[in-house]
Amino acid sequence: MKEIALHILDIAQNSVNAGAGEISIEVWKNEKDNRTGFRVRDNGKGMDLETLNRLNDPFFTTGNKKTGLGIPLLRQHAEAAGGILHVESEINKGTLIRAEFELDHLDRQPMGDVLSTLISLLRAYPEREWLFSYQVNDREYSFNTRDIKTELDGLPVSHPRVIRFIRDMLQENMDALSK
Amino acid sequence: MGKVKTLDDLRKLKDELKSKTSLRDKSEHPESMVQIKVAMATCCIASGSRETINYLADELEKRNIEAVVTQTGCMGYCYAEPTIEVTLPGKEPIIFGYVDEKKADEIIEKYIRNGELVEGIIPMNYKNIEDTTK
Repeated sequence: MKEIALHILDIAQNSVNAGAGEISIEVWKNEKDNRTGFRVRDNGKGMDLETLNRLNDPFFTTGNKKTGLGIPLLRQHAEAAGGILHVESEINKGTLIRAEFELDHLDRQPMGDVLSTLISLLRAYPEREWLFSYQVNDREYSFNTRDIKTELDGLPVSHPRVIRFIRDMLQENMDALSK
Repeated sequence: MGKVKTLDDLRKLKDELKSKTSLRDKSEHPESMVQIKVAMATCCIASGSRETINYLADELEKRNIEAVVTQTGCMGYCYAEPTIEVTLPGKEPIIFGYVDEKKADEIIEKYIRNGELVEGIIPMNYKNIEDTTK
């Protein structure tokens, strides 16, 4: 993974595969604390203790392959950049994954294209509810697909013109926070 | 800089789109359209599948090709990521490997528009002799 935003996409895919109807993604950068990171929380099927205990094993997966590299790679990247990976999960309630990095750490991956990650998720899973929060220091922008769907009144979120609108809206608001 | 877009602007867009009679929910008739599945597991994401899915969706719209672009899990061809499965109406699905933006452009222009096969096909449609004699 070349960007933290790709890890976000990977984790959010896991939430979708866990049957989550609502997935919340928070991304933050705090210069005062010298921290950056993200949190993905879902209401999917959750993980049992055995699965949780084997999360760091790259040869363990609940998928249909022989490897499960997503979480071990993320933990390795977080810890290499003075950060941590925190995982909480409860069966039938959901999962929370929080990854933190030292903002000015030389080995930290760039945050990358968070917007592209969100758009690819909206395109692929328009039927799910997505909550997104972007925080830069003490300023925050938040977005959720429930509000969007109310406004759209039956028009699909994945309609190309709607996707383009959402992308522009998110880009403008995220840029405004970074100024 | 212009005004930042808000939900009010979205309402206006909705009214505009709803007034167009050609608009329909693609999910109602997926079999009549080009269907594309982009593999989006860890291996695929690390190889660039996010750029592939966004490029395909943007370009198909720009080129006025009616298509449904969705995601799927790892198809097992990790060596050839990003991989996509393309199903043209009435045809068998075909899997293409190493689909970066350049290859995606070639697939749109040659295979999707003209039905012409391009390099990079993963032969998952191969049938052995037992299958053909059943």
